[in-house]
Amino acid sequence: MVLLAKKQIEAVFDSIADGIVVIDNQYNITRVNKAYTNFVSQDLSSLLLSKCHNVLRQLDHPCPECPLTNTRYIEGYNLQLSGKQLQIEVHPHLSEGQVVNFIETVRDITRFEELQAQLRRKERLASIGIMVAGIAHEMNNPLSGISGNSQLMLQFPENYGLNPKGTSRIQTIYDSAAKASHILEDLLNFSGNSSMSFEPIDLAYFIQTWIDSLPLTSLALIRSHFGPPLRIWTHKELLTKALGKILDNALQSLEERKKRIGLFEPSIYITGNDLNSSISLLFEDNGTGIDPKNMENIFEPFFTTREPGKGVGLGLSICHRIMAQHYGTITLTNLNPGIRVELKFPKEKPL
Amino acid sequence: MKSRILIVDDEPAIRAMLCDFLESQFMIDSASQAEEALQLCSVNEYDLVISDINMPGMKGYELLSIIKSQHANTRTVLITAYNVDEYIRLARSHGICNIFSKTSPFNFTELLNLVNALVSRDIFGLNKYMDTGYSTLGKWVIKSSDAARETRQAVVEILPALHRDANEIKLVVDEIITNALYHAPHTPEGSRKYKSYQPISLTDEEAVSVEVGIDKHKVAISIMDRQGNLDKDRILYLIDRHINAEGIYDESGRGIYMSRIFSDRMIVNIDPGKRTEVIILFFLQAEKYKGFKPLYINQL
Repeated sequence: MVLLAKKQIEAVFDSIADGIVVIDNQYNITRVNKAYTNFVSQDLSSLLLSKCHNVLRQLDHPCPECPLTNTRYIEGYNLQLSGKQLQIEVHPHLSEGQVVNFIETVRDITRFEELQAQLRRKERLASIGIMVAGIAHEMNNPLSGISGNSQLMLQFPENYGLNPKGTSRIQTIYDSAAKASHILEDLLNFSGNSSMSFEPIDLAYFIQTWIDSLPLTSLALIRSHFGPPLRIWTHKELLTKALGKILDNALQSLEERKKRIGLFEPSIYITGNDLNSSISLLFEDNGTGIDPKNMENIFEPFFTTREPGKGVGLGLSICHRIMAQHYGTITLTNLNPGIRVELKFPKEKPL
Repeated sequence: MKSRILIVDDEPAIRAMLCDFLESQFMIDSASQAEEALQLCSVNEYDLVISDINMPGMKGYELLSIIKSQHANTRTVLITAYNVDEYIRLARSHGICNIFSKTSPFNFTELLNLVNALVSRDIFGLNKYMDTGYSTLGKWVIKSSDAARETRQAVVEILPALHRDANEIKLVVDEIITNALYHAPHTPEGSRKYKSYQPISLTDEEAVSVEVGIDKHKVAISIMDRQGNLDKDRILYLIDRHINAEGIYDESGRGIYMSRIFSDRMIVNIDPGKRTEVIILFFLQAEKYKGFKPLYINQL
């Protein structure tokens, strides 16, 4: 009877996904569950009676954060260990008022932390989106005045006493206003303020026609590879816009690398794949890539590493926005050299 | 005699621009805010008042609503650089049916067409909305279900290649023609003469006419019934309801909203009890005037 109960408790202990380890007050491991052996990739026999700091972090003294060194101060702490984010909690086990041993739980919160970071980024982008839409709306009014007045002055220069020099200045004002309204349109796209209609297309065919429609560039060789048709739902105009921004980034980084190292073969490689649950589109270049310290900020509007005058830093934030409208994702990975941009589209029609 | 127009906008650049553009053809006055405009209206009789929506103090829709209540013959149009869709509810509650969109570059041709239609009250017919030298691609008269089906197909086939999805264009054409056929004819008691998709047979007085025209910039489809049963308030109600996604379970009324979304311009002209004309415009190239979609409903 007791044996059966013991086996049952052990089974419960082992089925828990968090690592659990029981430690005596000399830091010796006296019991572990299966999840814990998996965390530290060691088998049970080698763990028992080892020092816990030695197992977890290969230290020959207690961890600096260890709550046990200060027995009255028992609390959880986070630990980064071989690429994983671990949350560690220590609970004292008391018997007749005396601490006889400690129970430590180890939880892998890597995925949770990633999701939280994603959520924080999304929230920040959403609130920026609202602000940006407000600004764009406000700008639209004076801008239509600037372009409208210059249109009239260009059409009827004599009504405004304009000589040819004056007319040509007005033309530059008009051109600048056109540039500004182009940026404004980008802003409104970013804030999701454009009407949308989605249609089913074959991504493979769409990309091929898109590549064919590009003005010839001597800078880089663009190759692509697609297998069978890849059916996605898209808004063609938005998708073309996102592709344009990605290509633009790739060309700039290829040019930058050419400036830095001189001779190399700039290339852009585009492939599409059916991943069963989604469709993936890969853009790979062999340019400069992205400085890892900037990775965190690349989707922020107005974040740019380019020289002044070479873009305002809306490209990737617009792509991010457009992919969100597709209920898809965009991820960037450094390739050393170069960058891989992956666009993932769901197979179902977005609402 | 020249028609008299009052322009109200707090932005001096826009006010000056509109005055400059319209003064060769009309008598123009201008005001920088609502109180000044009301002052001018008490002295002069205007054929048309064009007012910005967002001004310090009284807003444009309040101003136009007061002017309409005091001067039944004065036409009104709001102009805004903001998203027109967000103002449709307010426009409806203030009885305003025309909202012009300030775009960049500014669309002077479209403004002039609208102003001409409003001051002359000559709103029916494709020619009012087309550039000079436009040509007619086809004309049809529908009296039966068969003719309706053939016309819908012929219209879609005659259109040039557009930057829009063919299914969307087809949907717009189907919706507007079907509306004209089934919603327009009423019995003398006032109920609808035909249930949806029931075979129909219209008299000469009830026949629906369809025309397709093209100019350098756009292709236009006019669908006209001879009943005039559509009401501006009802259209504004339907559009607003669907903009705010309140109508997703409605049995009908989605067509008019979708037609507005899927076309570049939708103009509805109503002569109550006489005729209703829906004009759908598709630009030949993607829109170069960057801004929002205007609202055009003219009820005589």
